[in-house]
Amino acid sequence: MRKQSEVDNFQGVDHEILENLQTATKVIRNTMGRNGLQTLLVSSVNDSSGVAEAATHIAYLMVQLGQRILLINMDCTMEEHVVSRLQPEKGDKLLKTLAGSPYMSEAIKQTQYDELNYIGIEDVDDKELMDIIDGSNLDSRLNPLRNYFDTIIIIGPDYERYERYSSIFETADSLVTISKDNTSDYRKLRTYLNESDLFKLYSLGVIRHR
Amino acid sequence: MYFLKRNWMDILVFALIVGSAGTFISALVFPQTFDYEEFYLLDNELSAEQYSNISIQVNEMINNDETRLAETVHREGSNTIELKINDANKGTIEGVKTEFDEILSTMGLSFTDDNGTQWNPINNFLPKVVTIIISILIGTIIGVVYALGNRRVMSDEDVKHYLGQKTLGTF
Repeated sequence: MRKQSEVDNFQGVDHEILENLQTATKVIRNTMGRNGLQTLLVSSVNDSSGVAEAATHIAYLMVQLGQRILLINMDCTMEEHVVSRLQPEKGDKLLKTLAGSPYMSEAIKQTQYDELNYIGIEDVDDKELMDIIDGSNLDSRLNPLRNYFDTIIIIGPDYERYERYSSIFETADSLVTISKDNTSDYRKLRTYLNESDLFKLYSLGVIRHR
Repeated sequence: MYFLKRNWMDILVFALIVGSAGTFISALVFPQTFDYEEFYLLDNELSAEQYSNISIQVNEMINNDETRLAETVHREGSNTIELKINDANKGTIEGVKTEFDEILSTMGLSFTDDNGTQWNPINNFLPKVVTIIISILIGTIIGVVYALGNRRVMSDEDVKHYLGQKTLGTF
């Protein structure tokens, strides 16, 4: 049974966002299915809240479409927000598991939504996060999970905050970019997309955050 | 040409704002002015000495060393005196008329005014138009500079044109 404080913080999914992202989610699912893609990176240049919102709701919608989903948060700044939406069980998170256990499954937590599982992230600084991810061979450690989940969705941190974003790009095979209308910059977005191209990420398209 | 298609509204707004400011400034810098003339009909003939006094007082009270705003014309032996005011706006002309009336009154001359009054507007059209055109051009340049600095992706067309991507959705 959940504690009262957890219930108070519970936001759940936003029905307006679900409505807006319904078509996008179907396009993502169909394109990934047709191209044999399984790991989707949702990220942006500078809109972490948009990324967290979009990824969380796409994950929820994909579950509604009958998929088994694992959502991995790699953005420390958005952990609280995602947790308030999904209310996962408590326990070990991504970085502790990467550093101390050979089994990624130990970090997987059931959320309040059936078939939607979650790996949260600890609150660490950017450098420590990158050091752990760089040295963890995350991509190959996700392989066993790819047999169990239909789709793995990764919440990527802001591109402009990290010099070594390659470690994040190489964990995924497909990409959805979030672009916030008021703060976007097409030059930065081009640089980001060009770099993702180097890692042969299949870019599914852009979701605009108004 | 996508640049113009995307930013024409911003450029137009800047051109209109600065153009309006230019129109306002041109109205201040080049106000509507007139050459004015009016005949005063005196009850009695004016002597040469009286006319000379009037001229002196006009120069002392109305004109100054740098500008010659008003002048009077009188034909000897007639009972009319003409007041001419050069290149002045309406307020100044009204003020000069009042002062001229006072000069005549203090000299004990009785008269009727508003005879043969003529307001001849001075054409400031060209400098006004040049000012407005220059301000519109400046506004357009500011608009273009603003548009060049605006690298936001604000529409599905922007996504396609600048990023070569399709828009999956908006939330």
